[in-house]
Amino acid sequence: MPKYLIQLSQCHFDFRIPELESLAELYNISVDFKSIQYDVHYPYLIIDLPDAKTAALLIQRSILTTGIYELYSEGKTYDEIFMNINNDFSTLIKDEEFNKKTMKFQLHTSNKRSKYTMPEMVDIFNEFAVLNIKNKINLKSPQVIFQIFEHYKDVADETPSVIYFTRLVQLSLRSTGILDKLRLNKRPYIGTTTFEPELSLVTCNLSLVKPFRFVYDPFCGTGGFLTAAATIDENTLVLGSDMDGRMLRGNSTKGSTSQHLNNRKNKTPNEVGLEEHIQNLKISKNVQGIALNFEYYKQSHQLVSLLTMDFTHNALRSNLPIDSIMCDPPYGIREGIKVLGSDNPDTLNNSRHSMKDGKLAYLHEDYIASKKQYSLDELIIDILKFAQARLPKNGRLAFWVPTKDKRGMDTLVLSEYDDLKLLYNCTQDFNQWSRRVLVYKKI
Amino acid sequence: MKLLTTNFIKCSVKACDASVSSFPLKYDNQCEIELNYEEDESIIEKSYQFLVGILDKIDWNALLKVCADLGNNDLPPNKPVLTQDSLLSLNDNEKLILKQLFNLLINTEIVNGSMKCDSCGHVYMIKNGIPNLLLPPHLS
Repeated sequence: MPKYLIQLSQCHFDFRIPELESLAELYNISVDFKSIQYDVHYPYLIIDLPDAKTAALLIQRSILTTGIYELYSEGKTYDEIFMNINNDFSTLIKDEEFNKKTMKFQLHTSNKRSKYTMPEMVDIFNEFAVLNIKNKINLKSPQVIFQIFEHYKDVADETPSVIYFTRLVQLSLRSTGILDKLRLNKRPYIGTTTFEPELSLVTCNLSLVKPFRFVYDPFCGTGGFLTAAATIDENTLVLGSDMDGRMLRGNSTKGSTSQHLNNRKNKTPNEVGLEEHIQNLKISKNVQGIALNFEYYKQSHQLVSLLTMDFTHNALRSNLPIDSIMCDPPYGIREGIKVLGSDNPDTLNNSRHSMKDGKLAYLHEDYIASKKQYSLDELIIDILKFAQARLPKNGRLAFWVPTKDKRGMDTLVLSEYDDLKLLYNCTQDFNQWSRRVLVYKKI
Repeated sequence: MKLLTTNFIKCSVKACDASVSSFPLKYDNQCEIELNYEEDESIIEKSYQFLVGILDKIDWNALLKVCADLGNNDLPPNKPVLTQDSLLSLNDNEKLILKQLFNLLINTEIVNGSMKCDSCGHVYMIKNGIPNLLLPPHLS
């Protein structure tokens, strides 16, 4: 089988292999990641795959890699590179169809102190003349990109520890601008607890969000996960609910609509009109809150339902097939953990009979349902219980929890719950605290 | 909320789960409805695939009932049979059906109003396009 080189992003190390493994499962690609040599500090991963089409499929939706490349040779020096050229390359350059395509060379160095100058790079590219590649060169829009990677073991090293000679097969969503598109300071509606785009997209991959399948966030807040799920694939069907309807509608004090855009300094030219564009959208489509974001990203049709609801008293009909569930529930640190109901017997008794404006109070349009406190551990069990009841076989649940609760105790991690099996437990570290995502699969 | 949503939500009261009359909810015929008809053919063209993808998740009888509650009796009695493959060779009649369905399911918004569970009688309010499915303590 041909060899492929995956270039990894240098962040969220804990999440990189789980993401790739999840994408392999999503597209039915058999790769045994446990048998692959993986060094957390090394920016490349080399794997065997049947063909370029499979390689492209694996990487296209990935967030924590930059791209995948067909590997033709590796060595410590360029002489070694030319000596070690493999058969995949020889077959490629004999192909007449291939020879008609335009090409260019690119060089990427990792861990090198001083970057190459343009003339230095051209000198290296010229050495490749010995390979007799007949394709015409086109620097602006080549159909083929030959990519050279040089890796330096130590920044002080003068010569690379390894060189790879490859051809670009597929760039990832990361390299094609999805993080910039979803940047929070360009998003019309956000809140204080809106999840950052990068890890919300990774969460989508970990929970195997699929086209024409429902993905549900029971604690959607300002809709960070919902937006990510709709953007990562243009045909996902998105459902969101939250106990706090003001967050969904965008009239909560915790959310801000486009004020953050106003306050931003150093706007780039194409951002100057942004504020005006959003105001126009709000008026012409008469939307605000999460719906405004969906309108802004032109994915309104994907936002199937937004509900003010307590997910433990769930109104989604039980035979609705939900394939992915993901959420970032309240941690009980910045926002309280609540569930419908009351521990006060008086509230319970009065609830049935009390009147407002000649109407039963609980049927009044301004009625606010009473809520009671509950603990993070109870909440985690309720999430697992819900996922167990609703997910189909192989369906996935991914949710975020702090590693320690407000009392400083470790939060609950169950390796199994009924038919749910814990697949991944990945931690994101902040300075003062950390949180983790738990990914379960229904077996 | 999109009219499509009416096809996915039932009463939140747990005791109603077993009752067939808790789905679909009964929509008040005074509901304020907004139609944002999509006229842009290129968007409609793109929506066909999307629509066929959700069609198999729709409970057609429930849709007929909700539409009748809201005063629309124009839907065909049976769910149109369409697959992703059949999109390649749509005739004009099928295109028209898909366009109408897109406008009905995706572009029809219930902005304000209420819906009632036929099993327990609880009434849920819809405000600014978002239904409130929270329950008072004696029902939760």
